[in-house]
Amino acid sequence: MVNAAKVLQDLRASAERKPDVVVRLGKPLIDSGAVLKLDADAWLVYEQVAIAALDMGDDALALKCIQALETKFPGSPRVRRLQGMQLEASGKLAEAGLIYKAILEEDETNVLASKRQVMLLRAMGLPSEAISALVKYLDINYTDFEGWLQLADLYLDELMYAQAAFCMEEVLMLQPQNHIFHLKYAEILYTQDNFQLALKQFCRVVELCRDHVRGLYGIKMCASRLLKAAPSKDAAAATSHEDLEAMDLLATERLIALYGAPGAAAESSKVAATKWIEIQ
Amino acid sequence: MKFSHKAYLKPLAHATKYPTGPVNGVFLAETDSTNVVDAVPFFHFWGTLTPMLEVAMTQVDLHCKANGLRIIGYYEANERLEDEAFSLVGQKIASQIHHVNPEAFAVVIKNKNIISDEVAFLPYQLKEGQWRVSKDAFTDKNAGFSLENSSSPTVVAKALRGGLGEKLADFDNHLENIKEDWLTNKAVV
Amino acid sequence: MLLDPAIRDWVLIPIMIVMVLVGVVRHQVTVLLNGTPKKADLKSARETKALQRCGLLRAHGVHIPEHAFHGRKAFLSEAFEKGTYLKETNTGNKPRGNVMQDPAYVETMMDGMKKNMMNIVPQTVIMGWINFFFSGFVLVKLPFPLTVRFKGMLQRGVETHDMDVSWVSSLSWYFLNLFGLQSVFTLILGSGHAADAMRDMQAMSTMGMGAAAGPNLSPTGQPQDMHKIFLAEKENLDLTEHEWGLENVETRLLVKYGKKPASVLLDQKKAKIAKLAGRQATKEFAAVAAPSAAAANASRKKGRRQV
Repeated sequence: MVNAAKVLQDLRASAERKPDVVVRLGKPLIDSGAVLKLDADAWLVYEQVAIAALDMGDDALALKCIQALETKFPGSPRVRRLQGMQLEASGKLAEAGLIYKAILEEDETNVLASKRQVMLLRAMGLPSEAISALVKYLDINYTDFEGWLQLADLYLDELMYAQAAFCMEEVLMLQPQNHIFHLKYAEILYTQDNFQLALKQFCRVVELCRDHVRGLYGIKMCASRLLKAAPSKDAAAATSHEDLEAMDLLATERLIALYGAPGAAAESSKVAATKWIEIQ
Repeated sequence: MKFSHKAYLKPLAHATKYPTGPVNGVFLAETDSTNVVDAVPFFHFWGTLTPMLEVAMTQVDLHCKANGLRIIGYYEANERLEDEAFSLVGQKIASQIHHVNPEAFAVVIKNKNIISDEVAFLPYQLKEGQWRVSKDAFTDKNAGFSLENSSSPTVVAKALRGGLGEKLADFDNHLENIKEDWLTNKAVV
Repeated sequence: MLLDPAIRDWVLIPIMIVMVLVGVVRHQVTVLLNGTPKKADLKSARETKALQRCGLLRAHGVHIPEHAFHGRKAFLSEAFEKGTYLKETNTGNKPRGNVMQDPAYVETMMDGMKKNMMNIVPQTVIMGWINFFFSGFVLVKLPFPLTVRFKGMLQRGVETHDMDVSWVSSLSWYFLNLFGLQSVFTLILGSGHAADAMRDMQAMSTMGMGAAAGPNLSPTGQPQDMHKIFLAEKENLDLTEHEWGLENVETRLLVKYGKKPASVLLDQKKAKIAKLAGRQATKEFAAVAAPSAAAANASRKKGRRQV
């Protein structure tokens, strides 16, 4: 019992999203009433379990937690946000929207409600409204890299690549060590036909994460594109022809080595990949 | 267009494996017929960026040439449960396929019908430069869409409830771990 | 020398109990006074965060490509100059009115005062009480010897030269309690309590300055002219050179995979430093010319303000 509370506390601290674990540990605590022995932490557990229960689709449990919180803190924006999420889960999007709107009218800096509102607009299929709400939110909370990622995705859905690239640059400034973000930025640049920068970003991906297959494919694509194209005019910023050939060779070599290892890949994908490398 | 069991199963397994994100892929047919014999799942991370799409398309093409197949269609499933619209990116990709193969069609997966006895495919066809939905394609005999095995939806729904979707690998999976067999997906069939 | 047990029962223990009780009461009163936390204002949050954003760009600009950095730099520079992020957009050219008329400022000021009063009044009263009734009392004998330097700490209020240092006077007992009861309070009130004696000391040193006021108050308690801060930050930004971390990533990668010797990187670095040194020289020359222009600019602005 004490262990369960400890695990839940650790999960809260690390902000990991493991709804199945939370529900499994939290449900007996709440059903048996043992949760109240945790004093002030009890209400945090209630909130945590409520969100996890909504994730898992356990509406009864979520409702129980939210009601307990409602009686303890009537009218608190944090509890009302949970009620909004519960309405969202049961498909009452418009009503949930009203709740978030009311919270934001009282306190326009409420981060949780702003974020929920954006997600709600997206779920309702109103991407441009979601984008403007998120832009407004990020103008102030610009250190929220998840917000920027979300905005990048929204722009990508609308095929607005330049804007999406901007968002990814913000993410890179906030989280420079994550290779997935570099990868996403690289692919956006490639989509914008900016092969020069894309090559550098793909290189960064492979530098951060050795033998990253996606990164190697990216380097190979960029290098062969750049080699085929006429030498660019602004030669100062560009990678030298000799370096390009070296990169191309490196990517080819690594890919062949990776696919060539015995038992590394299924026969069909190995054949396709090897042929692909040949024709590039 | 006659869909084999395999071609019906794989897109739905793909959509089931990633219920919270958009997924896409292509259909394959034999070079000399319009019968859809197989499907290849592509992406679930982000479907709007081109570099890996180019790689995937070329590799599928090579795979096809080696096995006497050709790409005949495109499928996608949207993120939201009730969303059955054909995305902008999807239209672009499908138009590209159509460019090469004039018989090409596109399918949007009806998320609600995946685990049910009804056909979960919503076919789109390019008419007068626009992708038009053909609503009752699978019930209307003249529309030209049918399943090779009419019990496919029931069988697939049962298999997916049993967790078959987890065994499917798409190109994103393959890029993370090249062991994943994305072209044939032998583990699923 | 022996101490009367009555001293223990009627002086030593009462002082301690009184201090604990006062601490608890003060905690409760503080909680009561802070009942409703003040709501943050969206615009002032935006104002302070804009500065941080600029700092972030200066510190982490290395991770984004040249064009992205310059785009942001130009945008922020312009925004700072124009005052896009200011709470009140026209503060730039209007002289500030009397700060006492700004209700928000007065409120934060009052808040600070209230908190300080809560800290200082009880401590002053207890100290007065001890000084009045028990001055010159010796309350405890420490069970270990100490050097003579501790005399000032342990025998405050008892001015004898000959007494052994291990005897503790009443006033010193008070101070020992003031600092030592910290963990007792944590035990009774839980962590984050408001009966913290260390805070008293801080409060005393910044008495009346609105110690707990928001970030846009200067140490003297005057609200600062945000526009000026923005302009200073803009200058910082203008001086920031962009250096992209991926400039030589291809070479780095080739070295990592052993395709090129590591010495290539070193050569590149040397070449870069040489290039930079060349640029630095021209820059220093430019910098000599710049301040005079800036000064002229500033004086022109002042002139307009007076008009």
